[in-house]
Amino acid sequence: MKFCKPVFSCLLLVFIVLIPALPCSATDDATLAQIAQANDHYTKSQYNEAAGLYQDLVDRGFKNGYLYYNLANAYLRLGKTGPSILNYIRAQRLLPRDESLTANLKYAIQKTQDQLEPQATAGLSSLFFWTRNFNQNEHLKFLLTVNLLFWSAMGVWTVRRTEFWSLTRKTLLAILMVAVLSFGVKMVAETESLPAVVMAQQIEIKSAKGEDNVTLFQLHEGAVVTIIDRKNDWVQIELSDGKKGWTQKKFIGI
Amino acid sequence: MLVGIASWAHAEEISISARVDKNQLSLEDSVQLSVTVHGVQNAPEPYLPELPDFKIRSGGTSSSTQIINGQMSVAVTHNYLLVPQNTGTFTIGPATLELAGVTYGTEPITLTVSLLDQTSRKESSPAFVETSISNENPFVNEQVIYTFKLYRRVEARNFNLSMAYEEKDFRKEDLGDAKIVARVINGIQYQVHELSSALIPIHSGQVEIPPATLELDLINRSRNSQRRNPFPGFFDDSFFGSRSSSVHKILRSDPLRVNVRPLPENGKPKNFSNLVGKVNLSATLGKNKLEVGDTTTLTVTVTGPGLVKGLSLDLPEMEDAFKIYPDQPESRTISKENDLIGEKIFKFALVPLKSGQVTLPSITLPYFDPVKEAYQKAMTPPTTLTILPAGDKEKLNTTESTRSNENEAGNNIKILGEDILPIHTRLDDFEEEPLSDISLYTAGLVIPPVLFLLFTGYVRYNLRLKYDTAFVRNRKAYKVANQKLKHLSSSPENNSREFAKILSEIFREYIGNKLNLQGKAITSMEVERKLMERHFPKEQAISTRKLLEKYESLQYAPNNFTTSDDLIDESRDLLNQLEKQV
Repeated sequence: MKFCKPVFSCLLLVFIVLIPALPCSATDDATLAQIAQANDHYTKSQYNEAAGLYQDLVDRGFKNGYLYYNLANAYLRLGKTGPSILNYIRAQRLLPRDESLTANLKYAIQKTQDQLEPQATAGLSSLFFWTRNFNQNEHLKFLLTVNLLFWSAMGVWTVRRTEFWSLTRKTLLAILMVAVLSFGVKMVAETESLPAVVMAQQIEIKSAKGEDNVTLFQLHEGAVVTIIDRKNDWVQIELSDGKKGWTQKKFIGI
Repeated sequence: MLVGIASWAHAEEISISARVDKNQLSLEDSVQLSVTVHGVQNAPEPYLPELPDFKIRSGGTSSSTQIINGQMSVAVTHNYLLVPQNTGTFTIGPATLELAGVTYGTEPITLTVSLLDQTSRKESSPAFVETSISNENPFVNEQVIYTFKLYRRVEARNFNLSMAYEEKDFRKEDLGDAKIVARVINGIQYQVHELSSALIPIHSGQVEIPPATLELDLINRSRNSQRRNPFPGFFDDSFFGSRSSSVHKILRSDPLRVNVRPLPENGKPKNFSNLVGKVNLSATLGKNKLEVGDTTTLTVTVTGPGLVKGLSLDLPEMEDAFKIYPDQPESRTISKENDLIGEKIFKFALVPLKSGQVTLPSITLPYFDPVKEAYQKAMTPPTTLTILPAGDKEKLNTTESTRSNENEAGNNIKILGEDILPIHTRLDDFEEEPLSDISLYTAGLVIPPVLFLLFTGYVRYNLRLKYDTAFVRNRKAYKVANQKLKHLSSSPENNSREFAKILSEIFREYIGNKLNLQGKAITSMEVERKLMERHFPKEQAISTRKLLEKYESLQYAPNNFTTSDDLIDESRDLLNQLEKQV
């Protein structure tokens, strides 16, 4: 087995190159201290202070599902259902399997006047049903891992053309294709039909862009809608029952 | 043409009129009021005057258009059904219509509503109603049966019955659908519709049950040539010429007075639960012989008036002998012989705690018997159980029993409030999502296939080195030739002919290795041809031939040459040129 040595050297090289490339990051101590301080305010029922600290981190571009979740809790305690539901939905994109989050989102929606829930997935998203249970980052990590395994298996198969490695590379190729499609579907689902939340107390949904158009229906703070089109300062929204209409972008939180 | 019709319509004078189909009526009758707007087609509905003594129902709208001698007249009629609520003489004020700032009104109409002659009512009316109550002097909470009867001897349709009662005076339980029987009164056969409900008086005192009202349409049929019709049943249809007309009637019963008596305070039991009526109590046990820790079911059935369904039942003290787990009681009511009978079944799971003969004490339920006008007690006989010492399955049964109870308790938990789940506090989970670094992901996707290609190339190269002789010769040709040239230059041959021969061999070996030929055996002409075949530049091929010829001429030249370094340099240059080309 003269080729064993170069094969394993090559695999080792691949891992050395790729493992650092896989997404992982550490949060700096100042951010963690701010989160701890906000948590402390929350537990002491100082929800205004807690929400301010959480929101500051979000405004600075810090993306974390648990941060959105805590911020949503603080807003809900303050009676701000719109920002609360918006942050629950943001958190749900990153933590799709978190049961506490799902329960709190449901509770928050029950507090709204319209009680509109996020639209159920349709089309390819319902066919690739598992994509709902994983966030985009997880999809990507899975894709990268399967990609690495597939090409590694191809490398081994180059020097060891046995039935086992042939089957392994074919299986990994099938999984890789599913992973690529799943990631694509997830990307499309998160960019095409974006859930959004009504942030104003009450808004009027127009038949077309412009305040002079006919008011089709009214929505209230916390109503969850789906954005299907954007034109300048206006967005076209759709409800879960198929109702559509236009409203100004400033009334909607995305 | 439409424009012309419109102009005719505008040309006609606008007016409004009202008429009634009768102005003398009884409380059982209704009157049809028709308000007609002339001269305009799409006018709004006229405003009716206040009519507090009538119930008003809309009877629809009809319109007519007539063109006579080129003159078009348009009329829209709004029909209303007025149902009198009181007797007396009433004036229907003007119905008004406002069009283009002008108010149009109808003439007032006077109506007289009189009572029907009570004495001749039954004999003369094609239909009448009456109500009755099973007991005019009930006790509080004693169930009485309130019955409504419709007697009719003509066909009737569109029934609308209202059996009003005051909710502050009674509770009501329906007793099912109406029954229809035939009955003969004074030689006249009537169809009798009978509908009953159970009323339970809530408080004592004189209480009035208001008149029940039934609105219906009575159908009067008159047939053409009926005397000569041999098949009256078959041809009794409007299609064959029989004529029918309907009359809307409002039939009222007389109000009923009920004297509700209070329950006597004297002798009222402490645990009396307002149960009035005849009550039966029975109890059955699932098994009378069981082991400690085993379970048996005690079923207690209470039968009585309809209100037993709201009853609760407590077992006597048996805590020392049994663990008691009550089940959800079941209740049902049955309408039987124009009466409402209630049944409630209580079930208790009993788990004996000690062995021996254990007696279940009597279960008692106090009630008030309105017939005897006294408080009574329904009672079950005491029952004796034989409890054996626990066998091997004692623990198992006890455990199952406890678990069952916990489940029941879980189902009965009352939700007092709702709240959100708490915040997330584990700081290790607050890592930023690195979704934005696309270059890393791209590298992760691209690097593995690139490495695979490099690895494949390496493997293939090694395989050629192992199995492809021509490839190996080609790869090593320059290196070998160069080394030999270096060696030759470092130890110059004294014999110039020998020097030229070695140099010629080195060069021919190089050409042979490069072109996978036996280089030492080929002629200079063959080398030129082979190089040309391998697409070497013509100049290089010619230079190579000339160099090889030069080596040959030096080998056989009579005089020694002294410019060996120049010849090595010339050879090395050509070697380099050829190597670059390869």
